[in-house]
Amino acid sequence: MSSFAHAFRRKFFHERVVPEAAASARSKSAPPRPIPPVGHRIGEAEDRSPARRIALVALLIAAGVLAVFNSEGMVSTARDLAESRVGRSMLPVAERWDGAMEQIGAKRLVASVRGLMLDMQYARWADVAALFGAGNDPMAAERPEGEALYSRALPEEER
Amino acid sequence: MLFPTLEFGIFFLVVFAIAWELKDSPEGRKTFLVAASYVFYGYWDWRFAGLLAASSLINYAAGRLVTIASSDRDKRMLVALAVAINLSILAFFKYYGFFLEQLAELLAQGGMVRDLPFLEVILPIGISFFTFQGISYVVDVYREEIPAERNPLNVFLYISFFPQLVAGPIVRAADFLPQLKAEPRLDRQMVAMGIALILLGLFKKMVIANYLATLLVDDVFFSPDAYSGPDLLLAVYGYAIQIYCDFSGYSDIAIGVAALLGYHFKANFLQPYRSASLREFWRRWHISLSTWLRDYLYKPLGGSRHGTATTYRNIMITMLLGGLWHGANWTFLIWGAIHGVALVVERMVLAVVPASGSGVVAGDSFGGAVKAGWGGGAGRDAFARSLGVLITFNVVCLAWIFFRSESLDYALLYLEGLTNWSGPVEMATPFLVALVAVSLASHFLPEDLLPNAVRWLENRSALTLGAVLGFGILLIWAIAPEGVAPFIYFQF
Repeated sequence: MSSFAHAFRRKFFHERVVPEAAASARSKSAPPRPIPPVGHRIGEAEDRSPARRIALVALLIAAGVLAVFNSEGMVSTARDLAESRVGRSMLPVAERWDGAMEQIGAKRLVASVRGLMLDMQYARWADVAALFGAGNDPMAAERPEGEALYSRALPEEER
Repeated sequence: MLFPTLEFGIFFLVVFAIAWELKDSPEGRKTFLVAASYVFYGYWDWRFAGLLAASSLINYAAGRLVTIASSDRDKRMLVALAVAINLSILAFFKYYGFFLEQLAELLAQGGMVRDLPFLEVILPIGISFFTFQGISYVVDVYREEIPAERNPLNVFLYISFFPQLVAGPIVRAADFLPQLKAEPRLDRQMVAMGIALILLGLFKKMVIANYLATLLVDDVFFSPDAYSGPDLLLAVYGYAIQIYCDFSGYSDIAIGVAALLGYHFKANFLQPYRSASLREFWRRWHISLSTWLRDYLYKPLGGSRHGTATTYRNIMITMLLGGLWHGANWTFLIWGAIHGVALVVERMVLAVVPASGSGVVAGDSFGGAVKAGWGGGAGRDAFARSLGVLITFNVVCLAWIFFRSESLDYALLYLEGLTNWSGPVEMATPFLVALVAVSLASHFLPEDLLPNAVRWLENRSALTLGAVLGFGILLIWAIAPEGVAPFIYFQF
């Protein structure tokens, strides 16, 4: 990414910036320009600002987290793009990646959160009352002890 | 390209990296951002990218011509022409079918059936927003609040900048163009703010708005006659929350994305349902539209400077046109009328009831800068404010019924159903009641909660920020209902 952007900038913009800067410097009314340190190109002195680097690294880490824990998102995006050549070639890669993430158990985190949400979504007032000790828990009676309603598998068809 | 999608995530990652690599080449950076914005817009339909370019070109040329024109009369003529062209484009795409339908109905009632030139006009996404930005630019140049841009790139980027292109906020030329001339900067505060706002916006849209839409609002508004009064009441409160979370969520993401690219947008929403008066509501709800209407419509009409009757007239015109801006439908017009009448009535009441000084309403909004409040003495301030909040919220909800309903008939059916409390209550599940109640309660949280969160994030490492963003999005993804619904304001 970075090398591509560097090459893009060099090719299309940097070569223009230098002559413009030189022309401006030739003008008698122009204020004196600071001499850039040896080894720095004009305008590159503050090129590595920490905030930019921090933001880029944070975005990349976030992308990595999502790629690992939400690999099914990649599959569904690839399926959405399956009409294009790029999409078609992406789909098997995304599916292989998704399979690998499933094998190492990375998808369990999202599945358990979704199970919890489904429990909340389908809860009735009687369940809420039972939760606060104001009655029997009818849901608990129907399932094995210690197991939430949808915590093991997602009933996709019910969503 | 919708914000909460992987496509946008990849798009933004690429744009972010390249835009900052081009930091030292301002023209290159702007060219790149314009190109990226057109890719973003063209992702929906490439044909309308031409319309966007034409709108930008017209406003750029108008700005130049206004500056060159020698007499004030010529300048006025040019501004009027530019505004007329902008509004004609908007009118054609947005109102052509509606007005022709009404005309056909009118002619039929008079016994004159005519073949009218009906067309299948597709509404270009975001047209209301970029048209208003174009008008804002030309008028600001005329008012000499900003100089006319020599560089067309600046105008093209101002009108097409992708974070705010399709659903606002409506950014003012005087706020944005100076930023294009300064060196783009990104500091830790902007990074933290960007991340916090993106997460907040995604949560509002993907979790709250989408759950309310899919589990409650869509069903109830689709057939209001099938539900009892309590369900209808819950659904309209739910819709009030849904539209707030949907629209303010989009604004939050747009402001956050712009911040990460080094640009500052003003806030578009400030916990609107905590308002104790309609006037306060309009200083907290869709601020970019309400201030636009105030500065480019209400004030040019005379504002509150020419007596009480003229002020009331101006408020009504502004609110009716504000309603019509949302779309060509009687329901939007009535929505605007309810707000207009409520603002007028509120102003009448406040003229009689002495101001409490409680800060309920202070500042310049529709109706002028009048410090006023519901109720009297200091001891009753809290009660007066609570009452004001309750009344304001319910008036706003009444207007939302018309705003959300498919047609006037549906809205009237809804109102009729609200009076019938004998049927079974089906929709009030603990989950939905809690969602509505907690979302409403969040309007009364301290206003500095977000700034405090940003301050906490500011000093974190890249690893922490990345983890917060990554796991934050993951959690939102996991708890949200499946699928990505389009934002409500895309249709406007």
